[in-house]
Amino acid sequence: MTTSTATFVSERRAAWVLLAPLTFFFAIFFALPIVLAAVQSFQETKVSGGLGIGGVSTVFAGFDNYVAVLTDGAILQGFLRVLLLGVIQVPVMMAIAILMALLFDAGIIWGRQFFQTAAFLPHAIPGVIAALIWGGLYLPQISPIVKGLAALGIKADFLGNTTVLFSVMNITTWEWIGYNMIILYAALQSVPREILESARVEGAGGIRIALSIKLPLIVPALVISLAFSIIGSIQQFASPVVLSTFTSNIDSKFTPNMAVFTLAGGDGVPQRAYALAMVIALLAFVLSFAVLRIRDRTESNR
Amino acid sequence: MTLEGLRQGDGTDTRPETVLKPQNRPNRRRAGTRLPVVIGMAIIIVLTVYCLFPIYWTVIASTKSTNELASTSGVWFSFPIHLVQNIRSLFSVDGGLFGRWMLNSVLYAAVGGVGCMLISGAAGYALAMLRFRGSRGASAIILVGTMLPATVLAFPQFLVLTNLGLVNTYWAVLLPSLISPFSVFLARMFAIQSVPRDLIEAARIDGAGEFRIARTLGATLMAPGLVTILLIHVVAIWNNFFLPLLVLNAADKLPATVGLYLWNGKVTQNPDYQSLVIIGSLVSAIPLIVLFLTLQRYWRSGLATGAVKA
Repeated sequence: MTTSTATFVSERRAAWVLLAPLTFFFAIFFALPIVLAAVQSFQETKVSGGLGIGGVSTVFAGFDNYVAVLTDGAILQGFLRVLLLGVIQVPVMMAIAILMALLFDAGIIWGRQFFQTAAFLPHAIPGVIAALIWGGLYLPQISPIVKGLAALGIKADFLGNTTVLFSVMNITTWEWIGYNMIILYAALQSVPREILESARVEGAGGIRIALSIKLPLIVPALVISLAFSIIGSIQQFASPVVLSTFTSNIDSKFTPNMAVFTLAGGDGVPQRAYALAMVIALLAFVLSFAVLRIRDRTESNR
Repeated sequence: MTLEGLRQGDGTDTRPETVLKPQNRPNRRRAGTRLPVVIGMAIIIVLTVYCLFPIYWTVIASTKSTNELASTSGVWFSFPIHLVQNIRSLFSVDGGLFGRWMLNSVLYAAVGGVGCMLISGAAGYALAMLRFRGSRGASAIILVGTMLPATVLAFPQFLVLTNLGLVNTYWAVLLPSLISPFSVFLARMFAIQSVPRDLIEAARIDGAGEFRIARTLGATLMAPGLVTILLIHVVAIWNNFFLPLLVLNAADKLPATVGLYLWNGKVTQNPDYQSLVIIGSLVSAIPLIVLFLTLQRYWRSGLATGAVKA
C-alpha cells in the first residue's frame, strides 16, 4: 500500500517535470497568443482629441471588427475561393488518390515502390518552392507547357483572372496527391484478405471488388483525408502569395489567410486581422469536430 | 481500422507470410488480366509524369542561363550547360545572401526540430505512461491544439514576440517552432505503441527512479518514433513561411523559402533573378528530398499514425 502510494507520488512528480518545458512554451506561444488575439479582436484604437493631438486609446468595440471583416467584399470573395477549393480541388485530388491507391493495392502495377515514391516526392518539396516551380511552369516566357500548347495551336493562360484559381488548385493537388494516396493505400492494405478472397470465390471481378468491398471498408480513412484536405483549403496561403509575384491577378485578400496577413501589415487594422484569424480558427474547429463526429459514426456503424 | 493495420501498409510490406502478397493474389491469374494491367500501368505512368515533370523541369532549367530559359525548349538541356555558373552566381549574388539563407534554414530546422523532438518526446511519454491528475485534460488540450491552423496562430504569435522584443531575431522563428501539438500527439501514440507498461512496472520494482526509466527505457523504445517526429517537424520548419514573413525583415535572418520568394518579386525589375530563383529552388529542396528518400520508412509510419489522429 505504502509502496504504491509512493510510486504514485513519484510518478506525478516525474510527469510534471517532463511536461514542464511543453507547458512553458505552450503557455507563451500558444495559449497567450490566442487569448491576446481574442481580446484584441474586440477592441479598437481611437484617437482622442482629434488631429492626432490627443492620446491614442483602446476601447471596447464589441463585434465591430468581426462585422467589418465579414462584410468586406474582398474577404468574402476569399472565403468563396477557398470554398471552391474545397468543392472542386479536394474531390478531384481525392478521386485521383483513390484511383492510384486501388491500382497499387490490386497488385497489377510493376515497380510499385518506385511509382509510390515518385508520387510522394512532390510532398517533400517545400510549399513555397513548389509554388515557385509551378509559377515558372505557368509563366508564358519560360514555360515549356505554355510553349508546347502554343505549338499545338492552343493559347494557354494559366495566370489569367479566372484561371489563376485553378492554377493554385493544381499546385495543392500536386503536393498532396501522393500523401493521400499513401494513407489510403495503407488503409486498403489493412482490409482483411479473407473478405477479398471470399468475394473472389463468389466470382466478383477486380473492379467490382474495388468498388463494392474495398471502398466502403476504407471510408473512415477517406473521411479523415477528405476533411483534413478541406481544412487545409481554408488555410491556403503560401501558393497564392508566391503566385502573386508572377501575376497581378491575385489580390492581397485572395484567400482569408492572405487577408489576415494584409490586415496585419503596415496600413492595415491589426484588430481586424485578429478578428479574421479568430473566424478562420473557429471554422477549422467546427470542421474538425464535424469530422470527429462523422468518423465516430462511420466507425460505430461497422 | 486499427493502427496496426495501417502501419502494416507502410510500404515495407510487413504482413505475415500467411497473407497473400499482392503479386500472388489470384486476380493476376484470372483469364484476360492483361488489359487491366495495361490500363492500370498507363494511368499510373501518366500520373507519375505529372508528379515528376515539374521536378525534372527544375533540374533542366537550373542548367540554363537566363536568356536560354526563354529562348530554348524547357524539356531538354541546351549546351553548353550553365549549371556551375548558375550555382556560382546563386551563392555570390547580393553578397552571398543565399548561402546565409540556407544556413539559417538549417539552423531553424535543426534547433527547432531537435528541441521540439525532446520537448514532445518527454511530454508524450508522460501523458502516455505516467499516472497523474490532469493527464486526460492535458491530452485533450493537445488534441484541440492539433486542430488549430498554424497560419492562424502566426499573427497572434507576432504580437507576443513584439511584446517580448524578439521581433527580427533568430528567437522569433526558433522559439515558436519548439512546440507542436501534433508532435506531442504523435509522441504519445508512439509511447503507447512501443513502451510496454509491464516493463516499466518491472523497472520500478527493481528500484529504478522515474527519470531513469524514462531516459533509458522510454527514450530507447521510442527512438524510431522520435526520429519520425524529428523528420516531420524539420520538414514543417523548412516549409514555414507565414511566421518568418511576419517576424523577420532583416534579409540576413531569413530562411531560404522566404528569401527566394523575395527574389522572385524582383524578377520583373531584374530578369537575372529568374534563373537564380530556379537554381535556388532546386538547391533548397535538395536537403528535404535527400531526407525524404533516405528516411522514407519513418516518414510513412508518421503518416499512418497521423491518419488515425483526432
